[in-house]
Amino acid sequence: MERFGARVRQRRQECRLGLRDTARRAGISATFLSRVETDAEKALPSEEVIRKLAEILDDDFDTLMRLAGRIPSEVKDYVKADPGMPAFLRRAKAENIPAEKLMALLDKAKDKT
Amino acid sequence: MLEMKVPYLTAKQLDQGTAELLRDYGRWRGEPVQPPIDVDEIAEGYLGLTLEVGDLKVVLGLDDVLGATWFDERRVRIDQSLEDKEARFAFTVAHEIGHWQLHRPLYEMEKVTLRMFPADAGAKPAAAIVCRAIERKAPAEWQADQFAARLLMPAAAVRAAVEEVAGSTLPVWEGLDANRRAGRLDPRLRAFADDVLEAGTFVNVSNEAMCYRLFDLQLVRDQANLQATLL
Repeated sequence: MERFGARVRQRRQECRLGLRDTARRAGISATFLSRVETDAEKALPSEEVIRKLAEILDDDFDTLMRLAGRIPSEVKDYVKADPGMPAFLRRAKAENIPAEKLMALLDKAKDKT
Repeated sequence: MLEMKVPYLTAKQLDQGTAELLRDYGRWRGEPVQPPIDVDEIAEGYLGLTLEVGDLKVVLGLDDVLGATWFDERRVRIDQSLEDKEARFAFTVAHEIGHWQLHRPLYEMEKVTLRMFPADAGAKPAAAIVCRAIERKAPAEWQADQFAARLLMPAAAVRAAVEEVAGSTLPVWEGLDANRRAGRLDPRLRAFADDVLEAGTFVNVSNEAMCYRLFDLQLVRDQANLQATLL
């Protein structure tokens, strides 16, 4: 499975961005970023830092969050706010319905309204 | 960790080595290189090395390590204690680049010999070069220092900055050499170096490093020395 640190380093190299430059722009220390890239750091960056990294590295925020094992706070808040969401998600999981299919269903429902 | 015997290099050879690297790096960037020289980009971008910042005391089990280069892994690690010290960090990166440019070819040749006595299977790759703060400078370390100074402070850029600060008359001070022999940097030299650093936008160079570069390029002179030359 792809690792968060490896992905960040790869994108950094593709974007020709230096370790210290990237760290400065993301508001973290180069030591921390270096540890993240080499999997030496147990505590992966916060959502705010991952958002900045996605912007700096021109990468997909959701993908970086997934690789970091994090769920975006607005998704968490949405699930928390609607009492029906846990049951809905559990059912989607039990019936093995992938996100793509759920999206298609949402689009279909939107067309009907 | 390898003890590396290195051949003697003249000042001219070191000048050529750094000039060549700066020229090639400039071509890669698509523009002439001007100070401040981005040594991080030379290491990571142009040379394709992996630059890391970490606790080298833990990694290597030594107290006073500033930087280390693993030739086989194309990896340079700088000690985390230098992170907030821009000039020292840049000099250490430039120093490791010096090892890479000057000493890697020798290491590759040594490896051919070492293959006759292979290490244990599964052994971690050893750091080829470990650079410590308080060790008597071995020739390889001295050469890497000289390379670093030339890389961060190219002669032409330093001369141009000196001319901007002092015009065509180079500073001549009494007691300059005596201070240097006593292990002190003359306060007039330090003040002049500060002006040169600013005029040349050498923002990642320390005052001390510029003082020694000015000596090496003979852009500051001792009154007594000058009189001896004239006589």
